Amino acid sequence: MKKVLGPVAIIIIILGVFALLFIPKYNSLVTAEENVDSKWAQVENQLQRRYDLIPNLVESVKGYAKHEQEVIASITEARAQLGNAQTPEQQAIANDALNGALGRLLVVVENYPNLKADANFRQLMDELAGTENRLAVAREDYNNEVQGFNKIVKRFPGNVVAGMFGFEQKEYFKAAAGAEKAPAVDFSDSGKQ
Amino acid sequence: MKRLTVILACFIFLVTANNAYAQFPTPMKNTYIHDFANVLSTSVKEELNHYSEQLDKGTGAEIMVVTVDSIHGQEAKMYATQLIRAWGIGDAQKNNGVLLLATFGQGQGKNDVVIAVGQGLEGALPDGKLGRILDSAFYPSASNGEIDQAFQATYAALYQTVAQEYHWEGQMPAQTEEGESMPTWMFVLLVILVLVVIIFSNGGGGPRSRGRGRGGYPGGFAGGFGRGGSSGGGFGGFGGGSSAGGGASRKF
Repeated sequence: MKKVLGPVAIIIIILGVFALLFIPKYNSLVTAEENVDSKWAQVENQLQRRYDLIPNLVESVKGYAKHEQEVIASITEARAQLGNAQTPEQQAIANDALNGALGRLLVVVENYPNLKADANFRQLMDELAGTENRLAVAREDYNNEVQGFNKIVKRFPGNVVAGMFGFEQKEYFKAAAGAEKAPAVDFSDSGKQ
Repeated sequence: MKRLTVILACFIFLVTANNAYAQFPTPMKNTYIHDFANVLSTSVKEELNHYSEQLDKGTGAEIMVVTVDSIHGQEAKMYATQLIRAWGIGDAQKNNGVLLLATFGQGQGKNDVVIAVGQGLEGALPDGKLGRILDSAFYPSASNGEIDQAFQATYAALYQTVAQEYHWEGQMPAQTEEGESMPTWMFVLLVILVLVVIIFSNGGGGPRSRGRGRGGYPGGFAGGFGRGGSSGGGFGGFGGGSSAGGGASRKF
């Protein structure tokens, strides 16, 4: 009897140690993934908000500067790209393209004082710039959570648990260098006098 | 000797590496108006601080005004958002802080003015509205060098919106004493009552306020940074509020 009990006890102890080691890791992985997902939802909210704002912006630009086809087209195009993007990386790239197009729009706007002073246009630009700032904030929060999550996935014993239960490293929402800046709204000189 | 230098180097590295938000000024105590750039008159500072205090007590929302020389080339809205987070402006649950921040040492036309809000007030103060407030209340006076007026007008617009949001009928700036405001004797009575309550409730020796190193200040500065609780009287600022990045900015 004793001879059988010995190995069984050892196996139970080993299993117990593993459980003690892995269960908390598993739980923290689940929590971390939940956090990543909720932060990602914030990023998507803001991307969606930009997406929704663009048509109004394009309309008000057309009202004053309909000859600027090129800029208008590039904005519309970037918006479509954003709508089709699936992964965080694609979305980041599309968002950069949109930023670039909006930047060009701001340059063009300089030639249209009436557009620049238009209350509707100003409001839209404020909303867009604010959304861009929210996006930057949401992106930073998301990336921080991803970093925490990936750390657990990569380190022992988290990596074992992650391997067992199929947790994979998450993708950062990365923008190209220099694209972090929101398009600045500067109406100071030809704004309301 | 060598070890000392190594330790020192490590320490310096830690300090610099730790402070991603290092360029923020340290908030002053017991005030909502942080005029680091020294551009506001004392009376305006006191006036605005008084209103913020009333509003904070009445609604829990915090309006802070900060003036600095420069934000060192950072994007104004992002800077303001991070400042709300770093200082914890607004209530930790409601995230209802408002920050009016302006720079004065970046040169004419290059100075930033920005209003940032916590998520809890984004509905009442959406970006478009904030931009309009800056255009109509801040810019006209500020571009003429009338800094006091610019801040008063901008502050009044923010204050009224926030008070409305909370259906709070407290004292409004830009409105004189006549009208709905409380009779003076009632106010005095209330203050006395509050003081009496505070003194009596603190009677059993207050280790809490003494621990802060501000003994003899009933109720005192109980906020701390980050996780502020509300205190009985005194300054209730810095409630640990956050911001999701709402706001609008202009150059002036």
